[in-house]
Amino acid sequence: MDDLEERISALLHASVPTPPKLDAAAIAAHAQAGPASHRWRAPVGIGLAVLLLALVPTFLVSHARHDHSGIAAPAASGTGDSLCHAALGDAVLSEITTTVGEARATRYGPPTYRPAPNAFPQAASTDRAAWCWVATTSAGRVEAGSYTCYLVGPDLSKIEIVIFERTTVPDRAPGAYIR
Amino acid sequence: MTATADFEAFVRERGARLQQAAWLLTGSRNLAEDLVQTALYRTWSHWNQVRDTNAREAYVRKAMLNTYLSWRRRAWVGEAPTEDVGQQGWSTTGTESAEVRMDVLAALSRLPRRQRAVITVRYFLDLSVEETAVTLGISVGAVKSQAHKAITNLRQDRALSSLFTEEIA
Repeated sequence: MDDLEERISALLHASVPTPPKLDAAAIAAHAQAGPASHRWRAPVGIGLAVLLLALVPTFLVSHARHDHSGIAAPAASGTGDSLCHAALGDAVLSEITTTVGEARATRYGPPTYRPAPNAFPQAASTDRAAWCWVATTSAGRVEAGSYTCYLVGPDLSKIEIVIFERTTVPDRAPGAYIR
Repeated sequence: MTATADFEAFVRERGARLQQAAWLLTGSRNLAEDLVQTALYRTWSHWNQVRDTNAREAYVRKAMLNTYLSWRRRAWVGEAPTEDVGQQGWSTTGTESAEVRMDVLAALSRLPRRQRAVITVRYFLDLSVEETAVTLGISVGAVKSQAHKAITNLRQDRALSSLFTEEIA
């Protein structure tokens, strides 16, 4: 290295902040499980998705047409530790688990757009988060065929991400539709 | 040692340096963590095929740089360097002041992505020209050329020019 190269190198070394220790166990566990965008494609997930696609629109159409008292669509996933249900209640139609890191990196729509690059600043990248689809409501009424996606963090705070107009309940994270 | 324990030991031992390199590449602490974790996830499935620790680090580095160049093409245009104030865990114990850190990030953010990658790999990770070429999948000549252009750009950058002037004086 010449003098100038050594100065650049020294400047870089002196400038970098010290990062936190990575949660090695969590990363290993997540790596073994595979990325969230692939996990839902596992056979069991596909089976559940097919079942949901077959059943949930029937419930939704029924409620959209006859129940204008608020969101009353049935929950598609109701596990005890569900972030979506804890944050949004029984309005949740489908839930896709993810991590805070993956949620921050998610993009959709225009090539440069990431909807939540700084979501949940107090959370670690490996913390659990979830994409939650609920029926869109307007003035207390369910809008048929319209679904709102929220990102829910480990502290149960929620961020509204996007509204999709679809005939069936979305079963993927927003970015998955353009991958 | 099981593959999982081996992987965890690697993350504990080498994770910090990889995150620092990722910070220089992305200009963001959040993205740096995401980048390193994505690279680690991608290398996990081949972990047992690479036994040597140094070879494993080279493998993760390559995955990280590939991911960075790929993400950058798709999503990171228009990045603005920030200190991500409030982000937990990172400490600014480097010898340079916060102002210099921001100047370095600002200057790096104005480099073309491949020049930024060359600068980070060659002068922060301290790899040889040949190792840098392998990591980035380009020729040795391209590394030298990109490094020369990058250094010229950094030296002339409005954020860093005063530093070089002061040092030369």
